[in-house]
Amino acid sequence: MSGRLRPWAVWGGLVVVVGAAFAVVVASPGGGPRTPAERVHSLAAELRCVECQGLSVADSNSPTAQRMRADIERRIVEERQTDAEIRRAYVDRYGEWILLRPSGGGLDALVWALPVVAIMLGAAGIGVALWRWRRQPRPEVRPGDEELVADLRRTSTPADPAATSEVAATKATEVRP
Amino acid sequence: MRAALGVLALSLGAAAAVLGIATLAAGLRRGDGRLLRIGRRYVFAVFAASLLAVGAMEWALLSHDFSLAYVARNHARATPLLFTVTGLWAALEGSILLWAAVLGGYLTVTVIRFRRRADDPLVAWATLVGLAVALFFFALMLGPANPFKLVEGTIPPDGAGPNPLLQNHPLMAFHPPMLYLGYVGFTIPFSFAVAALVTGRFGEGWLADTRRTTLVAWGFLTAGIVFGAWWSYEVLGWGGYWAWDPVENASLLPWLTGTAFLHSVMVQERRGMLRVWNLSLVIATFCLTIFGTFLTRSGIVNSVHAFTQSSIGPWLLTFLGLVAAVGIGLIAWRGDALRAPGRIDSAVSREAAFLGNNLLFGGLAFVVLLGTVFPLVVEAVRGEQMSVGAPYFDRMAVPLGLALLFLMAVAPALPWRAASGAVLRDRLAGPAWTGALAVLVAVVLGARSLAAVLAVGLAAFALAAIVHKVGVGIRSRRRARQEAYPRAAWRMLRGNPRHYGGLVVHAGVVMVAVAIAMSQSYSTKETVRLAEGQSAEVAGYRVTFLDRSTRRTEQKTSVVARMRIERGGRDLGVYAPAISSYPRMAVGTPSVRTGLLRDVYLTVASAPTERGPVTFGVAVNPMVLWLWLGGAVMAVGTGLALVPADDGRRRVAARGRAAGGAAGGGGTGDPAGAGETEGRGLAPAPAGVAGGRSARAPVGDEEPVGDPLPAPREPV
Repeated sequence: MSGRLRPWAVWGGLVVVVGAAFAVVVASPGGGPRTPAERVHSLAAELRCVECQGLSVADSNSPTAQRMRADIERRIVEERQTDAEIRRAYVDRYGEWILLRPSGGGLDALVWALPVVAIMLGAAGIGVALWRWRRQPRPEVRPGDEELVADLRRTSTPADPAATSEVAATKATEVRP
Repeated sequence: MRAALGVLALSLGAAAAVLGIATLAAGLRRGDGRLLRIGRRYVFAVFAASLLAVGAMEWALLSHDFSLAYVARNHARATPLLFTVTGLWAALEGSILLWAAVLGGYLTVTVIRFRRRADDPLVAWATLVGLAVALFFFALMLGPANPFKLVEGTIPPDGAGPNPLLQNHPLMAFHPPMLYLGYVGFTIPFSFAVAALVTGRFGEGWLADTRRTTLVAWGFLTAGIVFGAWWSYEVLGWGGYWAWDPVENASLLPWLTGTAFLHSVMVQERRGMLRVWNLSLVIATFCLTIFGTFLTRSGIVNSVHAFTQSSIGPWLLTFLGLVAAVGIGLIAWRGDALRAPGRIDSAVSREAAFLGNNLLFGGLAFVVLLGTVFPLVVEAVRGEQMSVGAPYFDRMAVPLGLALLFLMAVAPALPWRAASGAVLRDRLAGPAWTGALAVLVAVVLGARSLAAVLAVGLAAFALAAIVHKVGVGIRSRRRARQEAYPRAAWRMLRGNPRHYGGLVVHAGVVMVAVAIAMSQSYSTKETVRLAEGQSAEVAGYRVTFLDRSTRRTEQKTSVVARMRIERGGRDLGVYAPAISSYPRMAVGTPSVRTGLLRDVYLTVASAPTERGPVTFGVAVNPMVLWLWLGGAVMAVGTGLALVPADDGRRRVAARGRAAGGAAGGGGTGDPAGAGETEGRGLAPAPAGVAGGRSARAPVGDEEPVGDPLPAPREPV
């Protein structure tokens, strides 16, 4: 398709199609009122199963986890508590430790912020390096370089430039002190 | 007797390591090749001693020698043969023994591979570093983690047996050894990195020397992680395969940095850049293997997989600090000399994509490390416990994983140096449209999870890009040589197995990504309470509790439930989840109906003693099978990448004759394979050659011209 179509048609069409598909995904009801069962599951997934090692209440089949799921369901259906109220009730009883997702306040904020900051800094570093490299003058072409490359192209098999490159790249440049 | 033999073996191993280190050090100091050749032989002694110690331990396990504390704790007369043998790695001390033996094996292979270069200082230094690491592990076993310690008091008539979770599935025989083969294997590239820094030969030589070992270690680590996930899925009974448990994270960390390294070495091989970065990645990977062992074996974190706790924490931490200090110190010492002039011409190029890859893998490693240690730090600061669990890791890892998937689709199609719009269109428009179609199909079929739709689209994009690339390669070979399709495909693969093996690994990653996206987004899980004869319906599957039976063996009492699974009236067979009570704990045995598209995962969630109705966990997990298949494809790809390139030597020699070997690593031949020709004219290749050449020249050194393959290296 690429040979005949214009570039803007190829990429523009792609953007439109993918954009439309994701518009459907994003616009579909997700954040609205949910069924009690869905709420139980999403809350249970955030709470630590007290008996288990590192599993959430949603994931564990242990009797305690079953009881905790039933308790969450009771709070939702009978006591009509909000998600935040249920979370608070569990934190009051077991401490912050019960939450598998750090709350984001105080010291906990670091666990969310540090990776974002680190990755942004890394990306910025790469960006700056690329920008500085662009501004550097290119190395000069010395006399003889052209022939060197022409020679290389003659001696390596044209349809198969791949075969030699790795070996050449690694072996031919062994450095000795 | 067996204990004495074991301790003797350990002492011999430690002594051989000390002698080897001393001999090599003396040889290096005096520049005496004879001493270096003697020194390397101690590696064989270390390996033999570790095998002897392993033999003594297995003998003790098989002969029920409960006078050994380790055997008394991890073995019982009733333990089946398989789990008796695997008892070697059922707890800390035995694992360290296995570690030492595996390290001995790796060192032996390395010494044999480099037998013709025994007096090369690089190899000698690497051997010395490897022996020093081995010495640490022998010292650990002669000190706080002695596997041959005797029981105090009277010898018990029978032992406790391995942890029930560890004698529940044959995967126990594969998962830990694979993981250790991966973990320990990274000692070799680490040793060579230190040797390169010490000898000042931090060009591309040490990378070429360790490329295969690194790949082997990476392949085993990948297999170990996949086997671990599979073991979790088949044994732990919660229906998942990855819980972001500290031990799982510990195995993932070196994998992440190791994967980053496998990619970034290509930039150094090609352009002579990123030397410090590559050395740092290798040292970091090794540090993370030690850190992982510290994390999981010192008892500072709770985990399903940490089966012992002990006092080796301070030892490991000291060793870790030492290794990190040596690594950082050496890099700082060599700082200026390490700097290589070089540049990346365009943000849309293969090398820039590798930088992006490293940023993402590095970021992911940071997230995993931070999330794992953060609760410990907070507890130390605030004196209050907190948790960082799956919701955190999922939230942070999913965007990074998706970005990696995108890079995996795009990067292999990018030419080195710079890409033009025309090249991008040629190579990526088709695959990108394939991805778009996959997104459309997913949305039409009702997928509404943003992450899952993105993952499926990017996976299709990546897979199509791989297929396109391989197709172009085969076609151009056919055109050039008039070969039939199968022959052209075979010769293409043989011509550059590293590249095409890498693409096969990528195809495996695509499968794994789809499996993770689907199973994480569309699993259904319910607990149902059924009396015999009753049925429940979960996600379109009907499960009927037929009956139960109780089986008693010497070791355990199992309650086995028989369940019929049906879908749309079609009988899919009878499955039998069970729950067993061991003296110390109850362990469920899930029963999984594996399908290409969906698994039905059944567990007994009731206590094994209960009468009356039984509580079952019923989960329907989409596409989990593809996780294991993807892992297998990754293993196959890694194997392919290890195959030596066919007839490469002849051509390198021809090249060398023509060009004096100067331009080997410059900007011409392209590992991307056929179909790269259109990208070539974009950057002035001669400049690339010249730049690459100068970037590579060691500081203050003349490289021999006209000798591209200085294979038999003379002693310096």
